[in-house]
Amino acid sequence: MRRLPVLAAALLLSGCTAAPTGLTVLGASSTRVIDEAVAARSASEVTFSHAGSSTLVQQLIDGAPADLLITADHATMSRAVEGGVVEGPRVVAHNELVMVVGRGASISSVDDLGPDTALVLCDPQVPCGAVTAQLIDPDIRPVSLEHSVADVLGKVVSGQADAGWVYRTDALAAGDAVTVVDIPGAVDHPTAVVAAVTTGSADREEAQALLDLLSSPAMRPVWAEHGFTPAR
Amino acid sequence: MPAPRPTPTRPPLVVAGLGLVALVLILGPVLALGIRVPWARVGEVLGDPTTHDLLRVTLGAGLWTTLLTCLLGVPLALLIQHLPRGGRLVRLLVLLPLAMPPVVAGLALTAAVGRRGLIDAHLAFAFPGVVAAHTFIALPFVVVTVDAALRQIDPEIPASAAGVGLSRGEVLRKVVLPAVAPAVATGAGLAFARSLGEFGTTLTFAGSLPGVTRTMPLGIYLDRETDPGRAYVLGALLIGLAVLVLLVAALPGLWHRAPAPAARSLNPLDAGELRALTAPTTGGVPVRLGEGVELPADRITAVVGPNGSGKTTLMQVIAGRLRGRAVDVPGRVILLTQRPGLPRTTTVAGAVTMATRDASRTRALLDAAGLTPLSDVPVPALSGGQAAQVALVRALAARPEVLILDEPLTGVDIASATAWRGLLRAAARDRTTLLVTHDPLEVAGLSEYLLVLDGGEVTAAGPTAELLQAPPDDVVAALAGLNRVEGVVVASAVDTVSISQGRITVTGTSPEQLDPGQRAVATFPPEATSLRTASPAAAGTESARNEWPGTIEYVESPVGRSATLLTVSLGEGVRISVPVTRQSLLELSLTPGSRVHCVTKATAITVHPLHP
Repeated sequence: MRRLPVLAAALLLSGCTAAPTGLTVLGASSTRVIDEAVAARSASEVTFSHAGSSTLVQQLIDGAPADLLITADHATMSRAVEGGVVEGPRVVAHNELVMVVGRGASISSVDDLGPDTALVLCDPQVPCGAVTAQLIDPDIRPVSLEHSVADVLGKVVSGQADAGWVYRTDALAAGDAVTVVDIPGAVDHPTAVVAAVTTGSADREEAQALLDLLSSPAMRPVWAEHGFTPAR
Repeated sequence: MPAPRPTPTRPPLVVAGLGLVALVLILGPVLALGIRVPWARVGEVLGDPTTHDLLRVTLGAGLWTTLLTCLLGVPLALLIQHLPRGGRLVRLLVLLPLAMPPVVAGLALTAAVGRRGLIDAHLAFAFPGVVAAHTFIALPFVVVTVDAALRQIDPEIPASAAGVGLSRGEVLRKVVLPAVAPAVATGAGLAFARSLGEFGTTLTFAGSLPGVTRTMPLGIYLDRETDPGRAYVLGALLIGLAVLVLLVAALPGLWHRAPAPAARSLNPLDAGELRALTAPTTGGVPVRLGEGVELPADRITAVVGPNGSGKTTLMQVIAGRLRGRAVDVPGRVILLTQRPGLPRTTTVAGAVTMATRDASRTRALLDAAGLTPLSDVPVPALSGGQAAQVALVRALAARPEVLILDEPLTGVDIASATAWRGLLRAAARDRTTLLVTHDPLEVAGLSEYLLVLDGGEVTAAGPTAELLQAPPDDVVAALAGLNRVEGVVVASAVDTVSISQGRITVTGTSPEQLDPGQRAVATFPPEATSLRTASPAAAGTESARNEWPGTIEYVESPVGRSATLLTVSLGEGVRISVPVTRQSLLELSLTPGSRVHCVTKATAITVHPLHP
């Protein structure tokens, strides 16, 4: 019986052994496409964790260990700054909205959206929906206001919806399953991809170096390749 | 004096400890959530029209889901009971929605009934889609709980209800559904609660449009992005709703209390009145078993045979509960087994009225049977003896042409058994009654006809009195309380006849002329034989004509009898019973294995011809 506590402690420790070196990045879901390129160019070992921007901010505020936060818009990054968990945010790239159309649907422009079109959008409460609300004709009625870009894309890919508005990066990642249609004015309403070093980082210097890498000229072709507009 | 209560039992410490951990695991996070809820905002959130939309969609979906899951789940649970091999595979498949990731469930629904699915049921992005998603996910809760409850029902209960004349629909409505009602309530509550919490399948299949398809979990998920405080308030509201629903669902179970058996003294039986109320309009009918065996109408036939001789099987065949053997019964047959089969959700009067369909006739019947003091007693509160009597009256109430009683008095006390036999004797002349029994008293005292079974075959059938007098086999001999030796006639004198079975020769008297070489059977009462341990007496000093050497096999001392019963083996497979006093037992040192000589007067032995 005396060995039980020792065993229990060992079990607990094995669950949360922190890597002595290396950085942890909490990245907005849309940035997952650049993980490999970042890891290849970074001097440190980098671990990525992806979720919706606001989930990541909540995790940070609740004490999740991380060195760098990347959010998909300014608003969520502002909450992180207010919460005191990051400092010095910097825009590293931009993303813009496009319309994706399922295979076989006869929609080639935003003007083709009619009352019978099953259109899905992001809810205005999530970042992609906030931009959508600025661009869309208020008379166009969606059949659903989804909770994330992934939900919108999933509905169009499965054929459940005829069309949906998502980030260009996500549209590119979906490949041949959808057709991409440009949205007039989308270029004027870009969404910023913002990154910042966390206040709780164990190695602020390394984390800052990674942030510099994200906005460096070396990363520009990587951003562009995946549909982002690199920051100037 | 306070009423006795069950002695409390305690689980082992490890079990108690782990159990508490599990409880904390469930309640801890819920209580911790309460710390983060900005309770001051509850009023504001509840007054918000957006909240009203969420509540409307959520509660609407919950009610529809509960209704549909019960409407579909209860029939599925019923169907499973009737599937071959107990529907084991179906039981597993039903659990699939619980094991599937909700997103996958949503994709599956999309593939089946989505806009581009196999059938476009116009469910996607509309409120019925929310209900469809929730019904898909919550159906297993109803099926599993109701299925478990159905398996707890004693199959004798619906079988006997059908026997007394209820149609399949009536058995379902009056017997089965009342028995599983608490389980249906529990399943419905679980389904409602699951509907309240459904997220992934709803979002994937039905979408999330405010006021149309956006339920509270979806709203909470979105509010978390912009207004976490509101999300916490809505979360608390949802938990409150779930607790309320589970409480309501548990109510039927809380109401139910195990009725305490009440001692009630019964009234005397009015045999004439009982006969008048239970006689079938046409009278009894004979039961033809094939093989030329016909059990007489309007008589009690005792059915006897060793354990495993096929008595119960034959009775089930005659009652129509088993198939595969040709029997001809032109009329209504009711089978009563040792399980009374009374519905446990009603009173004695209710159970009998199922057969009579007339409350006033039920009152008259119970009155005639002397059971009126029991009429308002809930069935579970009946003692075994009371239940046996009520079951018999209920069976008689259906006026069957044939009544089969398969050891109905097993485990019933002597006083109740006597009352029950009184009931049966009173009604015997109006219908054909088959009574499976091991009790010599019932064979001799109740039956007029005897059917003997062995190895699934009829080995003898005939009037009880005749068969007991000349038992055709050892089973009947034991019933008749007679010793029995079969053999071939070897000598026939003026007043005696001798038969031989190997080395054993039995000399007795015969009422008819027997010829040497003829097969015959000798019977004699056990007390006609006495035992001797010494060598045979000298010739010419003994009047008894029979003296057989043997070995004691068993010694039995029946409770309440002065005599001890010995089983003595005479060789050649012949065994006889011999009673001796305890004193003889001790003085002669009789134990199993003792060698003895059995002495029997020829005048005590009757020899009958044996009919092949």
